[in-house]
Amino acid sequence: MKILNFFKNKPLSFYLCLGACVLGVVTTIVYTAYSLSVYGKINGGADMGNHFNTVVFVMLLLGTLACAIGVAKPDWQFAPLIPSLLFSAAFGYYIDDRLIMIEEEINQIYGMMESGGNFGTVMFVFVLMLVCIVAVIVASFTDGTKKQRNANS
Amino acid sequence: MKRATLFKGLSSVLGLLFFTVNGLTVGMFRNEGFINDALNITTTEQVDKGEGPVRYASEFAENINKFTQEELKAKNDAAQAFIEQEMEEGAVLLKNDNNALPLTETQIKKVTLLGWAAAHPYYRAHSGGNGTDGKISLKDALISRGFVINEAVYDALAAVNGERKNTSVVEAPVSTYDSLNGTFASYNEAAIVVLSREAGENDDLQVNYNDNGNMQSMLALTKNERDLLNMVKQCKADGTFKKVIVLLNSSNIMEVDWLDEYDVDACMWVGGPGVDSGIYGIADLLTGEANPSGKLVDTFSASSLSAPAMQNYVTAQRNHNNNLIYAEGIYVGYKYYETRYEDCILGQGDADGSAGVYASQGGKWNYADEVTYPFGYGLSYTSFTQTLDKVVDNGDTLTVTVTVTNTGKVAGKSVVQVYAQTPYDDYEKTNHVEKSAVQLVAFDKTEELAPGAPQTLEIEVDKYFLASYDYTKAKTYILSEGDYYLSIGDDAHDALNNILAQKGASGMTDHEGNVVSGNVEKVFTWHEELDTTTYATSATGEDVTNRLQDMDWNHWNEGDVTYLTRSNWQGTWPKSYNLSLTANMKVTDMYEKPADAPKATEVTTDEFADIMFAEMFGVELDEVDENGDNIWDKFIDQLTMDELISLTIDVKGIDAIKRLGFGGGTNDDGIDSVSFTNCYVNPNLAASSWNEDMFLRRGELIGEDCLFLKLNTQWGPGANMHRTPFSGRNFEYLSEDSVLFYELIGAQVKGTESKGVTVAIKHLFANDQEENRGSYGVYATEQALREIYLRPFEGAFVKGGATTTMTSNARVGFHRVGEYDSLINGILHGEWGFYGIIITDAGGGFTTPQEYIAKGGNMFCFVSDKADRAQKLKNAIILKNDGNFLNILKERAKETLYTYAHTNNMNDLTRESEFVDNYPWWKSAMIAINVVVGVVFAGAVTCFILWEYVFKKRDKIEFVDGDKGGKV
Repeated sequence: MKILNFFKNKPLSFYLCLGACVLGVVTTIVYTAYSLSVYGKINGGADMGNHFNTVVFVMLLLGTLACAIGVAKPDWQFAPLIPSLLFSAAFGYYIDDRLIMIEEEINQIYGMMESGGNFGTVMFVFVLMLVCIVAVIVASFTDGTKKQRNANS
Repeated sequence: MKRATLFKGLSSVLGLLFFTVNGLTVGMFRNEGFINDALNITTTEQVDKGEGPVRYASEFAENINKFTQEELKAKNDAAQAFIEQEMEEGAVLLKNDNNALPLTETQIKKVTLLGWAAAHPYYRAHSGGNGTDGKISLKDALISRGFVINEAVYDALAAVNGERKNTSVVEAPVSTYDSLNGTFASYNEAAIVVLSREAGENDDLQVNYNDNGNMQSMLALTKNERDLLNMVKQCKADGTFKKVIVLLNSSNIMEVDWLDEYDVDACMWVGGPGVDSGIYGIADLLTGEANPSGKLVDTFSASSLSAPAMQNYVTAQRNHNNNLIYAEGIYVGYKYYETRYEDCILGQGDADGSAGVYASQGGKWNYADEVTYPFGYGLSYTSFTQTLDKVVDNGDTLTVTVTVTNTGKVAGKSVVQVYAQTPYDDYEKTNHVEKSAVQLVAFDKTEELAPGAPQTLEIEVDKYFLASYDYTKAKTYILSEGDYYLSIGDDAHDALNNILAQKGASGMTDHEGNVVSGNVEKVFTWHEELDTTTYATSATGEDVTNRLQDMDWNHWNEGDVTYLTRSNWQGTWPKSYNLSLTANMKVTDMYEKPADAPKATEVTTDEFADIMFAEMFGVELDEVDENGDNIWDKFIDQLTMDELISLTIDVKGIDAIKRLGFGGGTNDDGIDSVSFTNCYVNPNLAASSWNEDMFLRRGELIGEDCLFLKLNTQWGPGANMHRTPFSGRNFEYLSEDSVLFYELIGAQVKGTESKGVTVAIKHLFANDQEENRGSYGVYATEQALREIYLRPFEGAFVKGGATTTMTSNARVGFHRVGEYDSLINGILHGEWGFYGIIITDAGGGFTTPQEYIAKGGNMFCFVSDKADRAQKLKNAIILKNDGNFLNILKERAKETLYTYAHTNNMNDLTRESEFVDNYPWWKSAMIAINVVVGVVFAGAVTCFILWEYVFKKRDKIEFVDGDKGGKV
């Protein structure tokens, strides 16, 4: 019951950060599992190892952890801003990381400069990241406090 | 909403925008070569353009250094007219019952186009060079020639969406026509059905294709196609359509043993016309404005799975451990079907057994069931006779004189095909020297002959093509002892029947199973003694001997592989091998710094001698100056280590060395053209013209295209083989026959190189399929490797004089191609005398940078890790203080710059030429966007901090102060 009470009467940013936090964990796990499991080659030739990118992983992980601030202290005004920037950084550097793949998929030549990836999964990771980002962006537009009227009701 | 909250929200939004833009920018900068290439941006520009000498002239421009738009147009007009002619000479008429084709002027006014590809033609597959979208529709091409087509049906087909690719055949369901049947009667002179397939780079066609739940070869008819053909057959039966014409719009050979079943009157293979004017040629062929003279460059087998090579073809469904065994040996394409046919006729080798039966009835292998159209086959709207006038033996060559006469009613061209049969006796059987029953050794094509007109052709046959590679005993090429047969024929099968007739055989049939007797008048026979020396030395004086034994699996593990032999078809029919490398199969000659290597500091670099690159034009490798110093060595001594390394790294171009007047190397990809210019027909369609003169012209025009674009290098043409019908890049390669390939690619290369363009023959070698192209290793006998898979490359380098080659990513045996010393230095440089640039496939290739350079590689193609790669090479010198490797790097630089010095790179170049950096506009734009977004983002964050933590705090302080009597 105490746990349930914990979720009661919380501001919107609390729920958004909580959702982003959970989704961040999922995204980090999906990203890590996927990128470690696929092995690429340059033009099908020279091994380029797996598709794991440490910067993307760290940003995702930190973003997820930072969401906990918004959960624990929703009234801290900077709380949703930190994860939004960290998730955005993960998103941006994932674009950098996957740019060749996207280009080759568009031009139907995937496998020339890189191989091994699954475009659908990569797009799924992008969507997960975006959902996390949108959640904390929306949270950023709230002041992190429960309105009095709601609190009394 | 409070201001602080608003700024916080905006900060988040702008943060997303900033990091998105920034990530994109970082990615774009890392791959700037691709972007510059796509935007046609050069990063170094010559200041004094147009004032220098013309060293490689254009036939269309008075001064190519400052050509006019009119001259450019003249070149493009000539190219477009040529492309149309390529289509007309390349298309192969397979069937033409009752002269269904050509269509008359009346008939073309009432035509219905059917099949999804009629509205969505296949032009070219995806790969380097031009794209896949045609500029002219088939409808427009036909209308331009006076056709009136059924618009309602065309519009309905055009509205059907689909994506034709290596994993999907697109055909409109027959229900598409349900409401349109009524329109057929008004356009009933001919139903023209267009069927297509499309593969591409990295995308082989599917061997096990799921067509509505039915697993089948992708080259067989799909259900929708069968339904369409049934509908058309029905319409012909009830008198709606007067004739049915099928156009095979595919570069991969489709199964067509169904033409009679669906009552098709005429069928023409039109391959891939390219994205430009080639498609007009189809219209001209249908009207008779052009008369087909193309001949098949691949066997049309009834089953696309029946070639023995299919037993060891990498597919997702089969696991070959990526060790791909070419167990079929030399029996590729017609060399399999025709040889097995002869052995069936002569009752030898257990040829008519069940092994390898795919389409034969009764479980016994039967040629007419297995082959629909033989290699070299092709009809015309006229008829010809060919008489073998005489054959003169000149020692190393034979001169064959043939008179061709047009006996029909319209003008046309005829191809003279000269085939040979060489002895297959005890020596060959004992020493595993396999022999095809018939092999193409020479060919020529007549001029357009008017009705009744004759032409006599003298055709030279090089006996080198009669020699066989004996890898077990003589360990070189031999001329077998025994009787030789040389025959002309309408196709490979026809020629073989002539030879069989000469040998006194009986029971021969044509490809349809009709009994034929052959024509001994078309055969010449002679005798040769065993000769193991004539071809044991190459033109360079190098021994031609076993060099590729590492690629023979049995060399390492005797008896593991049974190669197909015609002496025992049943017992040696290829198994599907799944072999793993054994411990002894490993590279042992890795580069090591020699004990006596000089220190890197002892090697001369950066020693300025005041020699500009422009001055190296025409300087030969061994030329010395007045002091007796080698000029090229002195020029190379001027380069710094960084400059030497920069020459090894291509990012769609080589960096300039401005201080020495080298403006950088330019290149572009494409086997049928380069980007931003004319697109010629698919190479295998061009090859079907069997017209060497046209290939020379094709090469010249591609060279002209490059001259106008000032491209020094063309990454193409391709010289890999049509080992199976499924390869994604069969459209890029010419044929299943290596001699046809040798001659045609040699002519094209000669044409392009004559315009000051170095052509990069790709992909050296045995890269005959796309699937797993970076990981599989090919194993075969040295006979098969030399006679089949290396021969097209030999044609390009020895006959054509190609000065660049692009290595394959596939392994040759367990070696990486660029690091296989006996291939690169033994055969390519040694036997063939190649001097030029060896470049990897795109992405830097399947290489270890240092090892690749040490073994002879010059350049890493199209890399995205320029800095890392350069550092690796630098480390290899500095960390080990390896002057030997630095000297190797200098040799590579000399090969590279010597090659560029023989290209149009030297056009417009003088000692005084100046170069400036051209900073790409998109980089400036991206930086500006980053700065603007970054500043706004930072501003939003600052505002948030100010309003949330500074102003708010100040307000609180003021409030507190006010409480104390201060101002509120």
